[in-house]
Amino acid sequence: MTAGILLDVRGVSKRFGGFEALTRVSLQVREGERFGLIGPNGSGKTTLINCVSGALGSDEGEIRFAGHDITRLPAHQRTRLGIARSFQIPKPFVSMTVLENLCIPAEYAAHARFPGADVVAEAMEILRLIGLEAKAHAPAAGLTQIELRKLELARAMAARPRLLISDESMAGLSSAEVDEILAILLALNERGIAIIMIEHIMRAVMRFSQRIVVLDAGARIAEGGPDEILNNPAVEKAYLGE
Amino acid sequence: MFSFDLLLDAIVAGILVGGFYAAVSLGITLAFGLLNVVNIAHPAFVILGSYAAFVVNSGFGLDPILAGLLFMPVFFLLGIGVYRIYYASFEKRGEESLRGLVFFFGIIFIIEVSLSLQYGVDYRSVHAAYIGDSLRLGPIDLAFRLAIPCAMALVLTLALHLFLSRTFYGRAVKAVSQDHLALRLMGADPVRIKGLAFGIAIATASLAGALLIMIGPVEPSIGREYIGRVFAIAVLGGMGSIGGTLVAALILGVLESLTSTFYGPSWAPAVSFGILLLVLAVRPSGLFGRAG
Amino acid sequence: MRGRALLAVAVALVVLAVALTRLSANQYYYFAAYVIFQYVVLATAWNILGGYTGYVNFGSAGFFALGAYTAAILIKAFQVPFPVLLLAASTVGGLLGLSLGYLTLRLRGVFFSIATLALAVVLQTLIVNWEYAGGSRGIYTMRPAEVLFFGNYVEFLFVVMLILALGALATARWIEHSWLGRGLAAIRDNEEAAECMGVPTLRLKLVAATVSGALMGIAGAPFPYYVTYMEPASTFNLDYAVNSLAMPMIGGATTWVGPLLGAVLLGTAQQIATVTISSALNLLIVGVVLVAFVILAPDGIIGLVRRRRGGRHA
Repeated sequence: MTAGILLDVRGVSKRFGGFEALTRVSLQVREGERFGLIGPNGSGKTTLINCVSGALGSDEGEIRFAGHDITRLPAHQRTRLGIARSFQIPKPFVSMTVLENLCIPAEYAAHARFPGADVVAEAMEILRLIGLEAKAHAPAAGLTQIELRKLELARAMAARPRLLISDESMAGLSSAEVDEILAILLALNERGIAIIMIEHIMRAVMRFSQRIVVLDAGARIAEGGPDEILNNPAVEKAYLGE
Repeated sequence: MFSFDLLLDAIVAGILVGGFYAAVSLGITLAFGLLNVVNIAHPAFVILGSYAAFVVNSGFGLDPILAGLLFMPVFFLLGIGVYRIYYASFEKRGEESLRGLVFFFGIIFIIEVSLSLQYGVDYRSVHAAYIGDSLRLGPIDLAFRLAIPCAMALVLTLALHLFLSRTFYGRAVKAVSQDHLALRLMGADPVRIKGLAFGIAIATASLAGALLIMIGPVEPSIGREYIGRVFAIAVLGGMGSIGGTLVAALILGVLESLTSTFYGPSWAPAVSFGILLLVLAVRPSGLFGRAG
Repeated sequence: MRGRALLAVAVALVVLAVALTRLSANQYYYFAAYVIFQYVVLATAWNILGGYTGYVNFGSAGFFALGAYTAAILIKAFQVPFPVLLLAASTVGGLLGLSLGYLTLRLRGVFFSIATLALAVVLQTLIVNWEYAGGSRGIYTMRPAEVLFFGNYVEFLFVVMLILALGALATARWIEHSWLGRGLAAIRDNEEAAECMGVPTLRLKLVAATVSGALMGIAGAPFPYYVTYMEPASTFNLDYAVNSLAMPMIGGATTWVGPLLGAVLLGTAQQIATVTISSALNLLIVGVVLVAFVILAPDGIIGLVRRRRGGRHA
């Protein structure tokens, strides 16, 4: 299976004042791939995906998506091209219902590529998949923590992405809840969506990912399949110290 | 009609008034720069301080500066109280942007109109023995009415700087603007620290108000012309930097004074707005500060 | 559908208003109603950027006065017909909103608000220094002695302002129920998330700022004829800023009905109050009520009604 390269990050650097958060990081994600991004706290994972999604502008380097150079594109245009992300701390649209939350990306992001689609029907289908169907008309402000996480993923889905970035969707959840989210992500991947998973919960990352990149202190220190990464001494050192 | 003397006078006056502007803006640097509380009502609190000084000056003959200092604890407590309400109603719920702003906007009116109902809209001033005099230094004429407030403002600026950099609570205030969690781990309650910092910000308004009424007569609505000034200074100075506030205030003071002298005083309000827009458009992080 | 019913109501109101001018000769009511309709426009305009998008404009007085002075100057210089005044005032207001927005809406929302605070002062400074506009001495505008169909010009202005109010409400209602309104609500709720969900946040904010500015400007267009003597201090009066903010906040900022409710209630109360209490006390009460509402009932009266009905979260 030689799927094409969907996301091509080349030499991306990002500085905040004097602090270098990312140092010439490169990685590639293929179409439909299950990709894990791990590293200790502060290694730059969220900064990297902020640069990929467009929430931040990179200082150096190039980012290409599906053949387009998106390095200088604003975030909303990247979403329209097919990159969607969930937020580590959920950011629901609190004045809207769950369904209305999904209608926003459906109308604004997906509509560009799928003009004829029935926005509401698509959104309901996603809610069914995610398990939030019963809460479709409930206010987003009243959801529980795990429901909010699911809403984040559902909302990213509603943008009909080709690449979904899941930023620590499982943090702080119980073991059963982690499995729920994992099942959802696997189901989404079955539909051909490439997924970048950022997580600290190792069993989830290892079960989910086909390939993993490890960041430490803003640089890429390892890449490979789950087994390789588990046995990589550099990775162990990064997490546990000398 | 250009003369070197006129230029020199304008610059000197601008520096002196600029120093005073720094005193008015310190409260914003604290509240907005460090605590992220957009207290647009700060100039109204300054006017409140002016009237407090006026009342004890005209009633008891107390020196205005002394009056300003005397009221600082009262204003401090007032600041804590206002912050408590602000925190409970808005900050806690994460709705400080729209509603917090509107809250302070309403406070402006409440203060302004209460003052005008109580004291009328006539201009009020204070009387002290030294206000009319001036000091002659070579070609420069330093009016006491400007020089003394400027000097007091510098003292206040220095005091605040020392507080923030040398004391535990001061450093806690600087820390709380950056990292709530770290502060909790240090054993300090972020809300209490912020309340304290806001209280100090309002306390500076007490002294600044006393200085204001020394410089010139005051009536309830003159706070409005200061809103543009203090935020222009805060943004230019880089928000959160005490030193930056001072420099920015001096720059604004001089520019305003030059504009006023050579183009007429009715153009002065445009200066602060012009600076504000320019800074926001070109370099939002200001001269000394962090971005945004 | 509800839209049609509302259109029918609007037309009926206009007809009623015109009929009223035939019947009643008491000019006072026309003056008072004009002010209330004017506030409906201002409150609705404010709310498009404020309640819908979450960006607070403290400078409504500046936009309003700019519209008024544009009209006054055009009348003085070219004696243009009335519709041109409306067009010019709304264009100027819209451009002001657009440019101010372009300069400040790319930064944190707070900077936009601060810029609007200073705006009225600066515009006032410009007018005060402009001789042709009358400077601080003011500018006189003569009402035409005769006007088609109406008894006098004030009655005409009364109906015009009613139509403008209905137009503003229709605009707000359309925006609220459209894709644009949903996008603005997303920006208000969480701008970062909205941007990442494909909403072109800067573009939409600029649209809201432009529409809001244009409506505020158009509210000022008939003003020179209404007051006949205009001077900076009262035209740039802070009352406009407070009211156009307080009315939507008190009525309810998330829908088009809120500003209407707030404008009618607060506007009427103020018209009655100016006769009985001082205008200063009036402003104090508005300030206190505003603060009370923003603390206790942030979704305004509409929000309270919804909560009572146990309906959806406002």
